Amino acid sequence: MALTKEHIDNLYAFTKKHFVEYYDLQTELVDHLANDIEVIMAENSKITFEEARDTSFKKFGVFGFMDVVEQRQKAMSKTYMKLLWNYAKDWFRLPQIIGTLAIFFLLYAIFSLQIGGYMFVGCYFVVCILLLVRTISLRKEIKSKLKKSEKLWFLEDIIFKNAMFIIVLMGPQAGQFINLVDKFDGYIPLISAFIFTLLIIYTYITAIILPKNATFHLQEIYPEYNM
Amino acid sequence: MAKSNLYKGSLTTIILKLLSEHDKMYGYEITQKVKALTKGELQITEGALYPSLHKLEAEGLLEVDVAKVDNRLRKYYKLTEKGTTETVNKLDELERYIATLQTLINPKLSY
Repeated sequence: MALTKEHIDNLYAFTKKHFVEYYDLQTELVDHLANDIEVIMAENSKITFEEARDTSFKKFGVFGFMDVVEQRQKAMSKTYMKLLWNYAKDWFRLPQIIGTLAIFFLLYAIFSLQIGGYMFVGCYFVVCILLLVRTISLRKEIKSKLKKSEKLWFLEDIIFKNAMFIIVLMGPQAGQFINLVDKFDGYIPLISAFIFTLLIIYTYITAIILPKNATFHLQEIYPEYNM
Repeated sequence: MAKSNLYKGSLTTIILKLLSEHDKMYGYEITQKVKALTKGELQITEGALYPSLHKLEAEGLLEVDVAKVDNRLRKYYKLTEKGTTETVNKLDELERYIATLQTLINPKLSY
């Protein structure tokens, strides 16, 4: 006997209850459980749907779906890194490399000024403020998306979490750089310009490009996205 | 054999081999196929199967397809071109490993 739509809805709720938040993974586990439940029920006509479901779930071991979720996280992080790398590579190809070099030389010129140290701290603060604004707008975006669709995709979550994480990473460091303003000489302006250029590229891709193109990548990776 | 977890190191090779013989397969189907082919001697656990499938997908060895079946969505896996090449390498690697184990288990002693 094939399971009804109510049974399938029950299985989605069941996976969610067992800490599987992501729709893509829920879908795969629901189909697996459903197949197994159908076999169990066919072999034993007296067993209820709930009993068959629990029997099937026990086969996942004492940690339930946790291992599957953890490994899926690793696999999706790999996919995310691939996307990030593909975008990053573009910045070092013609014609974009002209823009990259322009940013680098401009920063180097600014950081080489007598007030280079102050300029560095100023630029850092500007990036932090822009990121904070972006993080707030992304939080709003993902909240309204969740309200509307109630579906959360693993890759989408990674894209948005990473975009919002940079400010958490960069913000606390800001204070430390203030102590460096008077020691901005020698190779420091050159090294700072190089690191800052990479930081701008990384921030731009993770906080702007990837969240902006998230739907496109989700459609590419999940065939069920539009189903 | 089923309880000894000896198959774990070869799980990806088993999955790739099965997929090389079928156009596409879904998770539950893979577990049942292995069970049937080995007459129940080898049973792939759910907790091991899906992490392996997801890892192979992330490595670009498998691609996925989704179809609606009986009120639910089913995710099918199939080999990519890279996956087909990797299957040959992995099978070769496994055969050599089995041969090495054979020489250890049944050494041919010469006098």
